[in-house]
Amino acid sequence: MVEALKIKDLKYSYGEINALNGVNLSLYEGEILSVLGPNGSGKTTLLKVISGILHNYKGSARLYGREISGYSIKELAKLVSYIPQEFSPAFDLKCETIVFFGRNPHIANFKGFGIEDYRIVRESMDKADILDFKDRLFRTLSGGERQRVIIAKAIAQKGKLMLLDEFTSHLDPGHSQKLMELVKTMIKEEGITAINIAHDVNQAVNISDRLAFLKDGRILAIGNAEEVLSESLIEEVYEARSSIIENPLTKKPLVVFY
Amino acid sequence: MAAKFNKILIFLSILFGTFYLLLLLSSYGTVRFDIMEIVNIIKGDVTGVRATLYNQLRLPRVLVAFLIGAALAIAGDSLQLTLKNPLADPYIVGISAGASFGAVLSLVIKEYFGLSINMDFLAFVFALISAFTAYFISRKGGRISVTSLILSGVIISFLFNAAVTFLVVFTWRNIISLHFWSLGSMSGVSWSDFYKMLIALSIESVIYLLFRRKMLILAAGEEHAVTVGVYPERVKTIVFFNVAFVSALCVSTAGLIGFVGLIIPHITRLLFGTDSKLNLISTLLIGGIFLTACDTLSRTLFQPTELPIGAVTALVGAPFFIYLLKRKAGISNG
Repeated sequence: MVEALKIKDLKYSYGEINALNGVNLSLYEGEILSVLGPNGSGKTTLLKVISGILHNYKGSARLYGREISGYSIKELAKLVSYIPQEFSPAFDLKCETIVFFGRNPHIANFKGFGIEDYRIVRESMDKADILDFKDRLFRTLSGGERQRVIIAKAIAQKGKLMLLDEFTSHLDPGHSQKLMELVKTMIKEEGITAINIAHDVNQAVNISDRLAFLKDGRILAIGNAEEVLSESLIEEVYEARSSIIENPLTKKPLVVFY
Repeated sequence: MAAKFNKILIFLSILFGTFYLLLLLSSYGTVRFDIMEIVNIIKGDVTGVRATLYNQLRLPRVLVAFLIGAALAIAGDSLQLTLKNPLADPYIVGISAGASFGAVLSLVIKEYFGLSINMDFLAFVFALISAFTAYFISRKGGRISVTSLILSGVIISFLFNAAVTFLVVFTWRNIISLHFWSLGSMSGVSWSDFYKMLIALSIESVIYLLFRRKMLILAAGEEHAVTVGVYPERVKTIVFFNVAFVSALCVSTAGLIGFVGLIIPHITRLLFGTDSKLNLISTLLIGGIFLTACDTLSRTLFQPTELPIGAVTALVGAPFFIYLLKRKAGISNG
Protein backbone atom coordinates (compact mmCIF):
# COMPACT_ATOMS: atom_id res chain seq x y z
CA MET A 1 0.00 0.00 0.00
CA VAL A 2 1.35 3.40 -1.00
CA GLU A 3 1.46 5.90 1.83
CA ALA A 4 -0.23 9.07 0.56
CA LEU A 5 0.17 11.14 3.69
CA LYS A 6 2.34 10.76 6.76
CA ILE A 7 1.90 13.17 9.65
CA LYS A 8 4.35 13.07 12.56
CA ASP A 9 4.11 15.15 15.70
CA LEU A 10 2.19 17.90 13.89
CA LYS A 11 1.64 21.06 15.91
CA TYR A 12 -0.16 24.26 15.02
CA SER A 13 -1.16 27.19 17.16
CA TYR A 14 -3.20 30.35 16.65
CA GLY A 15 -1.14 32.73 18.75
CA GLU A 16 -1.36 31.40 22.29
CA ILE A 17 -3.98 28.79 21.49
CA ASN A 18 -2.65 25.38 20.52
CA ALA A 19 -4.97 23.81 17.96
CA LEU A 20 -2.85 20.75 17.12
CA ASN A 21 -0.70 19.22 19.85
CA GLY A 22 1.36 16.55 18.11
CA VAL A 23 -0.87 14.71 15.66
CA ASN A 24 0.42 11.42 14.21
CA LEU A 25 -1.35 9.61 11.41
CA SER A 26 -0.77 7.81 8.14
CA LEU A 27 -3.11 7.69 5.21
CA TYR A 28 -2.88 5.07 2.49
CA GLU A 29 -3.74 5.61 -1.15
CA GLY A 30 -7.39 4.90 -2.00
CA GLU A 31 -8.71 4.87 1.58
CA ILE A 32 -11.29 7.13 3.21
CA LEU A 33 -10.36 8.26 6.70
CA SER A 34 -13.00 10.05 8.75
CA VAL A 35 -11.74 12.38 11.45
CA LEU A 36 -14.18 12.86 14.32
CA GLY A 37 -14.09 14.94 17.43
CA PRO A 38 -15.89 17.64 19.37
CA ASN A 39 -15.98 21.28 18.28
CA GLY A 40 -12.60 22.94 18.68
CA SER A 41 -10.68 19.66 18.65
CA GLY A 42 -8.49 20.74 15.72
CA LYS A 43 -10.20 18.89 12.86
CA THR A 44 -10.52 21.84 10.50
CA THR A 45 -7.03 23.08 11.43
CA LEU A 46 -5.65 19.69 10.38
CA LEU A 47 -7.34 19.97 6.97
CA LYS A 48 -6.15 23.55 6.55
CA VAL A 49 -2.55 22.51 7.17
CA ILE A 50 -2.81 19.67 4.65
CA SER A 51 -4.43 21.93 2.04
CA GLY A 52 -1.77 24.64 2.42
CA ILE A 53 -4.16 27.28 3.83
CA LEU A 54 -2.20 27.29 7.10
CA HIS A 55 1.56 27.11 6.92
CA ASN A 56 4.18 27.66 9.66
CA TYR A 57 3.24 24.37 11.26
CA LYS A 58 5.67 22.42 13.42
CA GLY A 59 6.47 18.76 13.04
CA SER A 60 6.17 16.93 9.77
CA ALA A 61 3.38 16.49 7.22
CA ARG A 62 4.59 14.64 4.15
CA LEU A 63 2.37 14.25 1.11
CA TYR A 64 3.61 11.57 -1.29
CA GLY A 65 6.98 11.67 0.43
CA ARG A 66 7.44 15.42 0.24
CA GLU A 67 6.93 17.94 3.04
CA ILE A 68 3.74 19.97 2.43
CA SER A 69 5.51 23.26 3.15
CA GLY A 70 7.90 22.41 0.30
CA TYR A 71 5.13 22.43 -2.30
CA SER A 72 4.11 25.62 -4.06
CA ILE A 73 0.41 26.47 -3.64
CA LYS A 74 -0.20 25.49 -7.24
CA GLU A 75 1.61 22.15 -6.97
CA LEU A 76 -0.34 21.38 -3.82
CA ALA A 77 -3.65 22.32 -5.45
CA LYS A 78 -2.94 19.79 -8.21
CA LEU A 79 -2.75 17.07 -5.58
CA VAL A 80 -5.26 18.19 -2.95
CA SER A 81 -8.84 19.32 -3.43
CA TYR A 82 -10.83 20.80 -0.57
CA ILE A 83 -14.58 20.76 -0.03
CA PRO A 84 -15.43 23.30 2.67
CA GLN A 85 -18.41 23.45 5.00
CA GLU A 86 -19.64 26.53 3.28
CA PHE A 87 -18.82 28.27 0.04
CA SER A 88 -20.09 31.81 -0.26
CA PRO A 89 -18.84 33.95 -3.13
CA ALA A 90 -19.43 37.68 -2.64
CA PHE A 91 -20.93 38.03 -6.11
CA ASP A 92 -23.33 35.96 -8.16
CA LEU A 93 -21.35 33.41 -10.12
CA LYS A 94 -22.58 30.81 -12.56
CA CYS A 95 -22.16 27.21 -11.44
CA GLU A 96 -20.01 26.43 -14.46
CA THR A 97 -17.62 29.26 -13.54
CA ILE A 98 -17.17 27.77 -10.08
CA VAL A 99 -16.44 24.31 -11.51
CA PHE A 100 -13.86 25.91 -13.82
CA PHE A 101 -12.05 27.28 -10.74
CA GLY A 102 -11.03 23.67 -10.13
CA ARG A 103 -8.97 23.74 -13.32
CA ASN A 104 -6.94 26.75 -12.21
CA PRO A 105 -3.99 24.75 -10.78
CA HIS A 106 -3.56 23.06 -14.15
CA ILE A 107 -3.47 26.27 -16.20
CA ALA A 108 -0.21 28.10 -16.86
CA ASN A 109 -0.13 31.71 -15.67
CA PHE A 110 -1.95 34.13 -17.99
CA LYS A 111 -3.26 31.30 -20.18
CA GLY A 112 -6.90 30.51 -20.85
CA PHE A 113 -8.71 27.18 -20.55
CA GLY A 114 -8.06 24.59 -23.25
CA ILE A 115 -10.30 21.99 -24.90
CA GLU A 116 -9.19 19.41 -22.33
CA ASP A 117 -10.29 21.70 -19.48
CA TYR A 118 -13.72 22.13 -21.06
CA ARG A 119 -14.01 18.34 -21.44
CA ILE A 120 -13.00 17.71 -17.81
CA VAL A 121 -15.38 20.37 -16.49
CA ARG A 122 -18.28 18.93 -18.47
CA GLU A 123 -17.45 15.41 -17.33
CA SER A 124 -17.19 16.56 -13.68
CA MET A 125 -20.54 18.34 -13.85
CA ASP A 126 -22.06 15.22 -15.37
CA LYS A 127 -20.68 13.03 -12.56
CA ALA A 128 -22.02 15.40 -9.89
CA ASP A 129 -25.30 15.59 -11.80
CA ILE A 130 -25.35 19.35 -12.18
CA LEU A 131 -25.25 19.68 -15.97
CA ASP A 132 -28.87 20.86 -15.98
CA PHE A 133 -28.09 23.95 -13.95
CA LYS A 134 -24.60 24.80 -15.15
CA ASP A 135 -25.75 28.25 -16.31
CA ARG A 136 -27.74 29.01 -13.16
CA LEU A 137 -26.46 31.38 -10.52
CA PHE A 138 -24.94 29.67 -7.49
CA ARG A 139 -27.03 31.60 -4.96
CA THR A 140 -30.27 30.44 -6.59
CA LEU A 141 -29.50 26.78 -5.77
CA SER A 142 -30.55 24.77 -2.72
CA GLY A 143 -27.96 23.70 -0.11
CA GLY A 144 -27.61 20.20 -1.58
CA GLU A 145 -27.27 21.51 -5.13
CA ARG A 146 -24.62 23.99 -4.03
CA GLN A 147 -22.54 21.25 -2.43
CA ARG A 148 -22.83 19.21 -5.64
CA VAL A 149 -21.36 22.16 -7.54
CA ILE A 150 -18.44 22.26 -5.09
CA ILE A 151 -17.99 18.50 -5.47
CA ALA A 152 -17.91 18.95 -9.27
CA LYS A 153 -15.23 21.61 -8.78
CA ALA A 154 -13.20 19.22 -6.64
CA ILE A 155 -13.52 16.45 -9.26
CA ALA A 156 -12.44 18.86 -12.00
CA GLN A 157 -9.39 19.67 -9.91
CA LYS A 158 -8.27 16.04 -10.35
CA GLY A 159 -6.53 15.95 -6.98
CA LYS A 160 -5.31 12.64 -5.58
CA LEU A 161 -6.35 13.60 -2.05
CA MET A 162 -9.80 15.00 -1.31
CA LEU A 163 -10.47 16.84 1.94
CA LEU A 164 -14.10 17.01 3.02
CA ASP A 165 -14.83 19.42 5.86
CA GLU A 166 -18.25 18.60 7.35
CA PHE A 167 -19.61 19.30 3.91
CA THR A 168 -23.06 17.89 4.62
CA SER A 169 -23.53 19.55 8.00
CA HIS A 170 -26.03 22.10 6.66
CA LEU A 171 -28.19 19.50 4.96
CA ASP A 172 -31.15 17.44 6.08
CA PRO A 173 -30.55 13.68 6.56
CA GLY A 174 -31.97 12.78 3.13
CA HIS A 175 -29.78 15.18 1.16
CA SER A 176 -26.82 14.45 3.41
CA GLN A 177 -27.10 10.71 2.75
CA LYS A 178 -27.46 11.12 -1.02
CA LEU A 179 -24.47 13.44 -1.18
CA MET A 180 -22.35 11.12 0.94
CA GLU A 181 -23.19 8.18 -1.33
CA LEU A 182 -22.35 10.26 -4.40
CA VAL A 183 -18.98 11.26 -2.95
CA LYS A 184 -18.15 7.76 -1.77
CA THR A 185 -18.90 6.26 -5.19
CA MET A 186 -16.82 8.93 -6.89
CA ILE A 187 -13.90 8.55 -4.54
CA LYS A 188 -13.83 4.81 -5.09
CA GLU A 189 -14.31 5.08 -8.87
CA GLU A 190 -11.54 7.62 -9.29
CA GLY A 191 -9.21 5.90 -6.83
CA ILE A 192 -9.01 9.07 -4.72
CA THR A 193 -7.77 9.12 -1.12
CA ALA A 194 -9.97 11.14 1.23
CA ILE A 195 -10.05 12.68 4.67
CA ASN A 196 -13.59 13.32 5.82
CA ILE A 197 -14.27 15.55 8.80
CA ALA A 198 -17.54 14.43 10.30
CA HIS A 199 -19.85 14.98 13.23
CA ASP A 200 -22.15 12.06 12.56
CA VAL A 201 -20.31 8.97 13.85
CA ASN A 202 -22.66 6.48 12.20
CA GLN A 203 -22.47 8.15 8.81
CA ALA A 204 -18.66 8.14 9.16
CA VAL A 205 -18.71 4.41 9.97
CA ASN A 206 -20.73 3.75 6.81
CA ILE A 207 -18.54 5.61 4.36
CA SER A 208 -15.02 5.24 5.83
CA ASP A 209 -12.31 2.62 5.77
CA ARG A 210 -10.88 3.94 9.04
CA LEU A 211 -11.84 6.41 11.76
CA ALA A 212 -9.64 8.78 13.74
CA PHE A 213 -10.81 10.50 16.93
CA LEU A 214 -9.29 13.86 17.70
CA LYS A 215 -9.55 15.79 20.95
CA ASP A 216 -7.61 18.83 22.17
CA GLY A 217 -5.38 18.62 19.09
CA ARG A 218 -4.36 14.96 19.67
CA ILE A 219 -5.43 11.70 18.07
CA LEU A 220 -7.04 9.53 20.76
CA ALA A 221 -7.71 6.50 18.58
CA ILE A 222 -7.31 5.50 14.95
CA GLY A 223 -8.31 2.34 13.13
CA ASN A 224 -11.32 0.65 11.56
CA ALA A 225 -14.70 1.06 13.24
CA GLU A 226 -14.81 -2.44 14.72
CA GLU A 227 -11.39 -1.94 16.34
CA VAL A 228 -11.69 1.52 17.79
CA LEU A 229 -15.33 2.18 18.63
CA SER A 230 -16.18 1.72 22.28
CA GLU A 231 -18.51 3.37 24.76
CA SER A 232 -15.55 4.59 26.79
CA LEU A 233 -13.95 6.24 23.75
CA ILE A 234 -17.21 8.02 22.89
CA GLU A 235 -17.46 9.14 26.51
CA GLU A 236 -13.85 10.41 26.44
CA VAL A 237 -14.22 12.23 23.11
CA TYR A 238 -17.72 13.68 23.34
CA GLU A 239 -18.49 13.42 27.05
CA ALA A 240 -21.72 11.70 26.03
CA ARG A 241 -23.32 8.41 27.07
CA SER A 242 -23.73 5.83 24.35
CA SER A 243 -24.24 2.21 23.63
CA ILE A 244 -22.66 0.45 20.66
CA ILE A 245 -24.73 -2.20 18.92
CA GLU A 246 -24.50 -3.97 15.58
CA ASN A 247 -26.24 -2.23 12.72
CA PRO A 248 -28.79 -4.85 11.58
CA LEU A 249 -28.48 -3.75 7.94
CA THR A 250 -24.76 -3.15 7.44
CA LYS A 251 -23.46 -5.38 10.27
CA LYS A 252 -21.15 -2.51 11.22
CA PRO A 253 -21.06 -0.89 14.68
CA LEU A 254 -23.88 1.54 15.38
CA VAL A 255 -23.50 4.16 18.09
CA VAL A 256 -26.71 4.94 19.95
CA PHE A 257 -26.54 8.05 22.10
CA TYR A 258 -28.86 8.18 25.08
CA MET B 1 -29.67 30.57 -25.87
CA ALA B 2 -32.18 33.43 -25.88
CA ALA B 3 -30.50 34.89 -22.81
CA LYS B 4 -27.10 34.80 -24.52
CA PHE B 5 -28.57 36.47 -27.61
CA ASN B 6 -30.12 39.19 -25.43
CA LYS B 7 -26.77 39.84 -23.75
CA ILE B 8 -25.02 40.18 -27.09
CA LEU B 9 -27.77 42.55 -28.22
CA ILE B 10 -27.37 44.67 -25.08
CA PHE B 11 -23.59 44.66 -25.54
CA LEU B 12 -23.86 45.82 -29.15
CA SER B 13 -26.30 48.56 -28.10
CA ILE B 14 -23.81 49.75 -25.49
CA LEU B 15 -20.95 49.59 -28.01
CA PHE B 16 -22.68 51.61 -30.72
CA GLY B 17 -24.59 53.76 -28.24
CA THR B 18 -21.25 54.85 -26.77
CA PHE B 19 -20.03 56.30 -30.07
CA TYR B 20 -23.30 58.10 -30.67
CA LEU B 21 -23.50 59.43 -27.11
CA LEU B 22 -19.92 60.65 -27.25
CA LEU B 23 -20.77 62.69 -30.35
CA LEU B 24 -24.03 63.91 -28.82
CA LEU B 25 -22.57 64.85 -25.43
CA SER B 26 -19.69 66.68 -27.07
CA SER B 27 -22.21 68.93 -28.81
CA TYR B 28 -23.44 70.47 -25.52
CA GLY B 29 -21.69 73.32 -23.76
CA THR B 30 -21.38 77.08 -23.72
CA VAL B 31 -20.86 76.79 -27.46
CA ARG B 32 -23.38 74.39 -29.08
CA PHE B 33 -22.49 72.25 -32.06
CA ASP B 34 -24.84 70.12 -34.08
CA ILE B 35 -24.01 66.51 -34.84
CA MET B 36 -23.42 67.03 -38.57
CA GLU B 37 -21.10 69.93 -37.84
CA ILE B 38 -19.12 67.72 -35.46
CA VAL B 39 -18.87 64.96 -38.06
CA ASN B 40 -17.59 67.49 -40.60
CA ILE B 41 -15.08 68.93 -38.10
CA ILE B 42 -13.75 65.46 -37.30
CA LYS B 43 -13.51 64.65 -41.03
CA GLY B 44 -11.57 67.91 -41.49
CA ASP B 45 -14.15 69.41 -43.87
CA VAL B 46 -14.74 72.42 -41.62
CA THR B 47 -12.04 74.73 -40.31
CA GLY B 48 -12.06 78.02 -38.42
CA VAL B 49 -12.63 79.15 -34.85
CA ARG B 50 -15.47 76.73 -34.11
CA ALA B 51 -13.48 73.80 -35.45
CA THR B 52 -10.45 74.80 -33.37
CA LEU B 53 -12.68 75.22 -30.32
CA TYR B 54 -14.08 71.76 -30.81
CA ASN B 55 -10.77 70.06 -31.63
CA GLN B 56 -8.64 71.72 -28.96
CA LEU B 57 -11.07 72.14 -26.08
CA ARG B 58 -14.29 70.19 -26.38
CA LEU B 59 -13.06 66.94 -27.92
CA PRO B 60 -10.09 66.34 -25.59
CA ARG B 61 -12.28 67.18 -22.60
CA VAL B 62 -14.98 64.71 -23.60
CA LEU B 63 -12.46 62.00 -24.41
CA VAL B 64 -10.45 62.49 -21.20
CA ALA B 65 -13.70 62.34 -19.18
CA PHE B 66 -14.49 59.11 -21.01
CA LEU B 67 -11.07 57.60 -20.30
CA ILE B 68 -11.10 58.61 -16.62
CA GLY B 69 -14.62 57.21 -16.18
CA ALA B 70 -13.55 53.97 -17.83
CA ALA B 71 -10.36 53.70 -15.76
CA LEU B 72 -12.15 54.37 -12.46
CA ALA B 73 -14.90 51.86 -13.28
CA ILE B 74 -12.37 49.09 -13.99
CA ALA B 75 -10.44 50.03 -10.84
CA GLY B 76 -13.66 49.72 -8.81
CA ASP B 77 -14.45 46.32 -10.29
CA SER B 78 -10.93 45.05 -9.58
CA LEU B 79 -11.11 46.21 -5.96
CA GLN B 80 -14.58 44.80 -5.38
CA LEU B 81 -13.64 41.36 -6.67
CA THR B 82 -10.25 41.18 -4.98
CA LEU B 83 -11.46 42.40 -1.60
CA LYS B 84 -14.70 40.41 -1.88
CA ASN B 85 -16.46 43.63 -1.05
CA PRO B 86 -19.30 45.10 -3.15
CA LEU B 87 -18.72 48.59 -1.75
CA ALA B 88 -15.03 48.93 -2.57
CA ASP B 89 -13.99 51.77 -4.89
CA PRO B 90 -10.81 53.91 -5.09
CA TYR B 91 -12.68 56.89 -3.63
CA ILE B 92 -14.39 55.06 -0.75
CA VAL B 93 -11.26 53.11 0.21
CA GLY B 94 -9.33 56.39 0.43
CA ILE B 95 -6.95 55.74 -2.47
CA SER B 96 -8.10 58.83 -4.37
CA ALA B 97 -7.66 61.05 -1.30
CA GLY B 98 -4.10 59.75 -0.91
CA ALA B 99 -3.43 60.45 -4.59
CA SER B 100 -4.87 63.93 -4.20
CA PHE B 101 -2.52 64.63 -1.29
CA GLY B 102 0.47 63.39 -3.31
CA ALA B 103 -0.46 65.62 -6.24
CA VAL B 104 -0.85 68.73 -4.06
CA LEU B 105 2.35 67.90 -2.19
CA SER B 106 4.31 67.85 -5.46
CA LEU B 107 2.95 71.35 -6.24
CA VAL B 108 3.89 72.61 -2.78
CA ILE B 109 7.40 71.15 -2.95
CA LYS B 110 7.88 72.83 -6.30
CA GLU B 111 6.55 76.17 -5.06
CA TYR B 112 8.46 76.24 -1.77
CA PHE B 113 11.59 74.25 -2.36
CA GLY B 114 11.96 74.55 -6.11
CA LEU B 115 12.18 70.78 -6.34
CA SER B 116 10.38 69.22 -9.24
CA ILE B 117 8.93 65.83 -8.37
CA ASN B 118 6.61 64.37 -10.96
CA MET B 119 3.03 64.94 -9.82
CA ASP B 120 1.75 61.63 -11.15
CA PHE B 121 4.53 59.77 -9.39
CA LEU B 122 3.92 61.36 -6.00
CA ALA B 123 0.17 60.87 -6.39
CA PHE B 124 0.87 57.20 -7.13
CA VAL B 125 3.09 56.80 -4.05
CA PHE B 126 0.44 58.24 -1.72
CA ALA B 127 -2.34 56.31 -3.45
CA LEU B 128 -0.40 53.13 -2.68
CA ILE B 129 0.20 54.19 0.91
CA SER B 130 -3.51 54.81 1.46
CA ALA B 131 -4.49 51.55 -0.29
CA PHE B 132 -2.31 49.41 1.94
CA THR B 133 -3.17 51.42 5.05
CA ALA B 134 -6.91 50.93 4.45
CA TYR B 135 -6.29 47.26 3.81
CA PHE B 136 -4.31 46.64 6.98
CA ILE B 137 -6.60 48.73 9.19
CA SER B 138 -9.72 46.94 8.01
CA ARG B 139 -8.33 43.39 7.92
CA LYS B 140 -9.20 41.40 10.99
CA GLY B 141 -8.82 37.65 11.36
CA GLY B 142 -8.03 37.22 7.69
CA ARG B 143 -11.11 38.96 6.38
CA ILE B 144 -12.18 42.46 5.51
CA SER B 145 -15.71 43.29 6.50
CA VAL B 146 -17.75 45.76 4.48
CA THR B 147 -18.11 48.22 7.32
CA SER B 148 -14.50 48.19 8.53
CA LEU B 149 -13.24 48.85 5.00
CA ILE B 150 -15.61 51.80 4.64
CA LEU B 151 -14.69 53.16 8.06
CA SER B 152 -10.96 52.94 7.42
CA GLY B 153 -11.52 54.53 4.00
CA VAL B 154 -13.46 57.38 5.63
CA ILE B 155 -10.69 57.95 8.17
CA ILE B 156 -7.95 57.88 5.54
CA SER B 157 -9.95 60.23 3.31
CA PHE B 158 -10.51 62.60 6.25
CA LEU B 159 -6.83 62.56 7.04
CA PHE B 160 -5.59 63.19 3.51
CA ASN B 161 -8.35 65.71 2.69
CA ALA B 162 -7.44 67.65 5.84
CA ALA B 163 -3.78 67.52 4.81
CA VAL B 164 -4.71 68.79 1.31
CA THR B 165 -6.73 71.65 2.82
CA PHE B 166 -3.82 72.51 5.06
CA LEU B 167 -1.34 72.52 2.18
CA VAL B 168 -3.57 74.50 -0.18
CA VAL B 169 -4.47 77.19 2.34
CA PHE B 170 -0.92 77.34 3.71
CA THR B 171 0.64 77.69 0.27
CA TRP B 172 -1.74 79.74 -1.79
CA ARG B 173 -3.84 81.33 0.96
CA ASN B 174 -7.04 80.67 -0.98
CA ILE B 175 -9.53 77.89 -1.02
CA ILE B 176 -10.74 78.16 -4.61
CA SER B 177 -8.24 75.62 -5.85
CA LEU B 178 -9.46 73.26 -3.14
CA HIS B 179 -12.54 72.70 -5.28
CA PHE B 180 -10.42 71.05 -7.92
CA TRP B 181 -8.75 68.65 -5.48
CA SER B 182 -11.81 67.82 -3.45
CA LEU B 183 -14.56 67.69 -6.08
CA GLY B 184 -12.78 67.33 -9.40
CA SER B 185 -12.99 69.17 -12.67
CA MET B 186 -12.39 68.44 -16.32
CA SER B 187 -11.73 72.02 -17.29
CA GLY B 188 -8.29 72.64 -18.67
CA VAL B 189 -7.56 69.09 -19.81
CA SER B 190 -5.59 68.77 -23.02
CA TRP B 191 -4.60 66.23 -25.64
CA SER B 192 -1.51 65.33 -23.60
CA ASP B 193 -3.86 64.28 -20.78
CA PHE B 194 -5.74 62.20 -23.32
CA TYR B 195 -2.61 60.30 -24.38
CA LYS B 196 -1.53 59.85 -20.76
CA MET B 197 -4.93 58.44 -19.77
CA LEU B 198 -5.12 56.29 -22.90
CA ILE B 199 -1.84 54.59 -21.97
CA ALA B 200 -2.95 54.25 -18.33
CA LEU B 201 -6.28 52.69 -19.31
CA SER B 202 -4.56 50.29 -21.71
CA ILE B 203 -2.11 49.11 -19.05
CA GLU B 204 -4.91 48.80 -16.49
CA SER B 205 -7.09 46.78 -18.89
CA VAL B 206 -4.26 44.38 -19.78
CA ILE B 207 -3.52 43.73 -16.09
CA TYR B 208 -7.25 43.30 -15.45
CA LEU B 209 -7.50 40.74 -18.24
CA LEU B 210 -4.43 38.83 -17.08
CA PHE B 211 -5.72 38.62 -13.53
CA ARG B 212 -9.46 38.38 -14.17
CA ARG B 213 -9.72 34.68 -13.40
CA LYS B 214 -7.69 35.04 -10.22
CA MET B 215 -9.78 38.03 -9.09
CA LEU B 216 -12.96 35.99 -9.59
CA ILE B 217 -11.43 33.14 -7.57
CA LEU B 218 -10.56 35.61 -4.79
CA ALA B 219 -14.14 36.91 -4.84
CA ALA B 220 -15.09 33.45 -3.58
CA GLY B 221 -12.78 33.77 -0.55
CA GLU B 222 -9.08 33.80 0.24
CA GLU B 223 -8.93 30.29 1.70
CA HIS B 224 -10.74 28.99 -1.34
CA ALA B 225 -8.19 30.76 -3.54
CA VAL B 226 -5.31 28.94 -1.83
CA THR B 227 -6.98 25.56 -2.38
CA VAL B 228 -7.12 26.16 -6.14
CA GLY B 229 -3.56 27.40 -6.40
CA VAL B 230 -3.87 31.19 -6.14
CA TYR B 231 -1.69 33.28 -3.81
CA PRO B 232 -4.16 35.89 -2.45
CA GLU B 233 -1.47 38.33 -1.30
CA ARG B 234 0.24 38.40 -4.69
CA VAL B 235 -2.99 39.10 -6.56
CA LYS B 236 -4.01 41.78 -4.07
CA THR B 237 -0.64 43.50 -4.31
CA ILE B 238 -0.81 43.62 -8.10
CA VAL B 239 -4.41 44.85 -8.05
CA PHE B 240 -3.55 47.54 -5.47
CA PHE B 241 -0.63 48.73 -7.60
CA ASN B 242 -2.84 48.78 -10.68
CA VAL B 243 -5.67 50.66 -8.96
CA ALA B 244 -3.28 53.10 -7.25
CA PHE B 245 -1.56 53.75 -10.59
CA VAL B 246 -4.73 54.66 -12.51
CA SER B 247 -6.32 56.48 -9.59
CA ALA B 248 -3.19 58.62 -9.24
CA LEU B 249 -3.28 59.58 -12.91
CA CYS B 250 -7.04 60.25 -12.79
CA VAL B 251 -6.66 62.46 -9.71
CA SER B 252 -3.66 64.41 -10.99
CA THR B 253 -5.58 65.01 -14.24
CA ALA B 254 -9.04 65.84 -12.96
CA GLY B 255 -8.99 65.90 -9.15
CA LEU B 256 -11.13 63.78 -6.85
CA ILE B 257 -14.06 62.08 -8.56
CA GLY B 258 -15.95 59.58 -6.49
CA PHE B 259 -18.49 56.79 -6.93
CA VAL B 260 -17.78 55.91 -10.60
CA GLY B 261 -15.85 52.83 -9.51
CA LEU B 262 -18.65 51.88 -7.15
CA ILE B 263 -21.68 52.20 -9.41
CA ILE B 264 -20.54 51.01 -12.82
CA PRO B 265 -19.33 47.48 -11.95
CA HIS B 266 -22.73 46.78 -10.36
CA ILE B 267 -24.55 47.96 -13.46
CA THR B 268 -22.37 45.75 -15.65
CA ARG B 269 -22.93 42.75 -13.37
CA LEU B 270 -26.66 43.38 -13.47
CA LEU B 271 -26.59 43.38 -17.27
CA PHE B 272 -24.14 40.56 -17.98
CA GLY B 273 -23.38 38.72 -14.71
CA THR B 274 -20.18 38.75 -12.65
CA ASP B 275 -18.34 36.19 -14.76
CA SER B 276 -19.20 37.36 -18.29
CA LYS B 277 -16.39 37.82 -20.79
CA LEU B 278 -18.15 40.99 -21.94
CA ASN B 279 -17.56 42.65 -18.55
CA LEU B 280 -14.28 44.45 -19.14
CA ILE B 281 -15.41 46.20 -22.33
CA SER B 282 -18.87 47.03 -20.99
CA THR B 283 -17.51 48.34 -17.68
CA LEU B 284 -15.08 50.46 -19.67
CA LEU B 285 -17.77 51.81 -22.04
CA ILE B 286 -20.47 52.42 -19.42
CA GLY B 287 -17.97 54.01 -17.01
CA GLY B 288 -16.69 56.24 -19.78
CA ILE B 289 -20.11 57.37 -20.91
CA PHE B 290 -21.29 57.87 -17.32
CA LEU B 291 -18.49 60.28 -16.50
CA THR B 292 -18.79 62.03 -19.87
CA ALA B 293 -22.49 62.57 -19.15
CA CYS B 294 -21.68 63.85 -15.63
CA ASP B 295 -19.12 66.24 -17.13
CA THR B 296 -21.65 67.45 -19.69
CA LEU B 297 -24.09 68.17 -16.86
CA SER B 298 -21.39 69.90 -14.84
CA ARG B 299 -20.50 72.28 -17.65
CA THR B 300 -24.03 72.96 -18.94
CA LEU B 301 -26.30 73.00 -15.90
CA PHE B 302 -25.28 76.44 -14.61
CA GLN B 303 -23.32 77.68 -17.60
CA PRO B 304 -21.15 79.64 -17.91
CA THR B 305 -20.29 78.58 -14.32
CA GLU B 306 -19.15 75.00 -13.94
CA LEU B 307 -20.41 72.62 -11.32
CA PRO B 308 -17.58 70.43 -9.94
CA ILE B 309 -17.91 67.02 -11.59
CA GLY B 310 -17.42 65.19 -8.28
CA ALA B 311 -20.61 66.86 -7.01
CA VAL B 312 -22.55 65.41 -9.94
CA THR B 313 -21.15 61.87 -9.51
CA ALA B 314 -21.81 62.08 -5.76
CA LEU B 315 -25.43 63.08 -6.35
CA VAL B 316 -25.92 59.87 -8.33
CA GLY B 317 -23.48 57.75 -6.36
CA ALA B 318 -24.42 58.46 -2.76
CA PRO B 319 -28.01 57.15 -3.01
CA PHE B 320 -26.68 54.14 -4.92
CA PHE B 321 -24.14 53.53 -2.15
CA ILE B 322 -26.89 53.59 0.49
CA TYR B 323 -28.96 51.17 -1.57
CA LEU B 324 -26.01 48.75 -1.87
CA LEU B 325 -25.17 49.06 1.81
CA LYS B 326 -28.72 48.11 2.76
CA ARG B 327 -28.94 45.31 0.20
CA LYS B 328 -25.47 43.76 0.29
CA ALA B 329 -24.12 44.31 3.78
CA GLY B 330 -26.03 41.34 5.13
CA ILE B 331 -24.48 39.01 2.59
CA SER B 332 -20.86 40.02 2.69
CA ASN B 333 -20.54 41.06 6.26
CA GLY B 334 -21.66 37.68 7.53
